[in-house]
Amino acid sequence: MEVFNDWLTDLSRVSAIAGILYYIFTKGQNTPVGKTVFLILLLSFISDSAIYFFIRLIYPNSFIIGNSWVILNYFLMVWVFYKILNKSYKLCLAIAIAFSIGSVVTFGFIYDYKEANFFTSVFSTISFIALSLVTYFQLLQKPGKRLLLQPVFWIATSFFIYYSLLLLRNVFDSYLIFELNISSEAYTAINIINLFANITKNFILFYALVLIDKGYPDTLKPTGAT
Amino acid sequence: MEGKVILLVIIGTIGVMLMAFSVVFFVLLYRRKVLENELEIQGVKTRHQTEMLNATLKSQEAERNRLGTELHDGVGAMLSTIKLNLEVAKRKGDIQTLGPVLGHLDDTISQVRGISHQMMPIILDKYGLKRAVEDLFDKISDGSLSTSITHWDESDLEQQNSLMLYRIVQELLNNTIKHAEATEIDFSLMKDGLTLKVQYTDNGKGFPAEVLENSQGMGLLNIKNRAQAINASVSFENKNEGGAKVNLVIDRSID
Repeated sequence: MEVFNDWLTDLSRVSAIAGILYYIFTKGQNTPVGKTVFLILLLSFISDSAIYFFIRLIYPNSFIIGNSWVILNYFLMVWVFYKILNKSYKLCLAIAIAFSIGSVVTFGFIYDYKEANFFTSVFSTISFIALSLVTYFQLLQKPGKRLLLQPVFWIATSFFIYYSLLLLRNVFDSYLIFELNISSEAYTAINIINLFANITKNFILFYALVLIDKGYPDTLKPTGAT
Repeated sequence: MEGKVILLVIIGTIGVMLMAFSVVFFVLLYRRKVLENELEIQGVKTRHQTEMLNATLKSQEAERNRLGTELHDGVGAMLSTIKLNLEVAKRKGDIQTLGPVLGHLDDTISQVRGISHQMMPIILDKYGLKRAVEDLFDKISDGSLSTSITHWDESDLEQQNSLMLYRIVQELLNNTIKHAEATEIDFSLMKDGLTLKVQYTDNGKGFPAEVLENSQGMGLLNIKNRAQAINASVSFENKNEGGAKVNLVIDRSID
């Protein structure tokens, strides 16, 4: 189990590299969505690598990096959905503001930056599951397109699967670690879910970048709209 | 306790994962179904358009044949006769022999005028659709067939659309005369907001079932084609008391 976990951890850490290198070495997907997906992959790679070294060299848990990643990743992903979805300005602005206020309040008064923040992780999970469902809904409203060739479908699917898999883990994370003081061996099974979700998300995003590079439309906004 | 919570999280996650994959598959299947339906509708539309095009080409060809025959057998023959008469007059040097030529020329002029009227009815151009339809009805009315315009609202149709409607009425009259064995024809044109409702009925045999089923044959495709050209929907049915009923609704909102 431990060996499998280690192997999966390594794979998870480098899983974003395929998409990052593809973006760097191809010129085709220079769209706002393509750029932001690249930044999401880059952030994932940087935070996973940073966690790896941080735990070994600086602090025994990864929540400082993890919390920073949740916040930065949240705004990047809201930006992606804003660029993808049609008529999404108010929705995206509202959840971005709610998340910002919630983050300031929870980090200021409830949680320490060195522990899991229930609000940021659960709010972001629910936000992105909901935004993915809205994306599916809008995709189905658009006539005559093959979904498997739609970058929008794959981007929404990667986030939808990722956050669905992590929904319960994010809900119970603080409780398991700080209330039950779960052992690292016992936590391995749950961590495997996290790693599996991350690998799946990164490879699906890589495929979405390939499709964007091939010129398939990466937004549901009407042509000409920004 | 620790084990139970972990088990709960894992089983719950598997459940959520299954639900998530179900959602993704549902989205894919739903879109596939919609695409299949769209393709089917597209296929039906394409077939319909092909049929329309064939009907148009057929009717154009028939019209050309008819004109060709009329020109060849009527005008052509008259001109040959005139030429012959002129040659005889020239040979004899007798101006008296030109007398019949004038009569032939009058006949030829009258034939050419007739053909030209059929191609673009002057009466439609000069006096409008109502007079043109009345003229059509007058021409076919006799002791065995009576025609009436039961209602007529002024339509302000464009010239091209009036011509199309005129052709449709011509085709319907043709059908009635050829196939229906009717004794009465009623026609009405009513304005209803931005739509024009045209109704044509006769008291003949009505449309055969197979013609109604496919809306084909008896020039119906041609009528549908012309109706489509003026943004109109057309329906063909048989009256309960016997006879054919054709309703045409012209949408003028996009004029």
